[in-house]
Amino acid sequence: MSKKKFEEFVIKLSEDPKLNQSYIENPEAVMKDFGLEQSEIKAVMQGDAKEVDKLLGTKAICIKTIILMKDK
Amino acid sequence: MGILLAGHVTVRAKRAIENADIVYCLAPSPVSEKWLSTLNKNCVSLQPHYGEGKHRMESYEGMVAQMLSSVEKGLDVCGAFYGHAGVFSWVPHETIRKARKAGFYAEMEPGISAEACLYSDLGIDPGDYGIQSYEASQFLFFDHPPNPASYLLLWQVALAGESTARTFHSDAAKIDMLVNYLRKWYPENHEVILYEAAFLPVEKVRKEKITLGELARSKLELHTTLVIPPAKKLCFNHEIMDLMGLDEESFLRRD
Repeated sequence: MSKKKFEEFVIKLSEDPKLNQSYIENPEAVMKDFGLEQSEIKAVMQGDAKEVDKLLGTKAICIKTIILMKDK
Repeated sequence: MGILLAGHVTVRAKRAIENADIVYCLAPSPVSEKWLSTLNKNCVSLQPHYGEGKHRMESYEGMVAQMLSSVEKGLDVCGAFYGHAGVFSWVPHETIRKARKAGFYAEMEPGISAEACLYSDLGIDPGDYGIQSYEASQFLFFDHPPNPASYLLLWQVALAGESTARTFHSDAAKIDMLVNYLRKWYPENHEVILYEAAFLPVEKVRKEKITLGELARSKLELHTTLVIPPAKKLCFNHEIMDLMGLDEESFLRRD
């Protein structure tokens, strides 16, 4: 899998609402047009989070603590 | 820098990132960090400060100290945080407070928060019924009786009742306690929504409808928000309306 190409696609998709609209309407065709590999398209189409993580990296911790009870 | 990778950053925030001597970031995924690196090559992740079992306050203090050390060296420092840097986020506020106290210029740019995404994704207008928005543990531990005539948002519901600040795991027993507490105002079969904004455009927004009673058995991620729609109709405040010479008919007329 070409991680760089996939990252480029995801960033473009985030930045461009028009491309995003086309993607929502026909994701497979948009990914194919962009030149993504079949395995990458399959991972996205199947909602395979593990495979997508392999391409983009594992998600970081997304938490913000409000109640802070530090030990004294 | 907003929630959606690369797409939510404001023009001003982007310029601040590009122009800084060093950028410290707390991003939701490695690809977000890579994207930031395309804007500024001197980009440092603050994620290594986190650790399972480590008190989160220690993590946060480490982040603040690291950013301030660069400020003290005379560098133009930018902190890039996902969502809105000032919403549910102690580190940016504290860094700015300390930098200003030390005589440095510091300011925060607003960003697109998860709450802003929620209004778009779920089609909720906070002006319609009002919104009550709490971090779930804050809601539980302090006296915040909800108004069931307006929406109630409970952020980080997976960690409701978590008081150690050392773990990132949900506790079903505590979620049950939350449900039992909410039952004072909402029926068990009240329809609620599990909401998760999309960090990446290839992800689907989660807007799963369940009943309140099903909450403890549902899959809860760290970034899942519990959205509780109103359980009763808005009531007129006749005391105020009488003072203002208004009646219920006044709100129905369009002339």
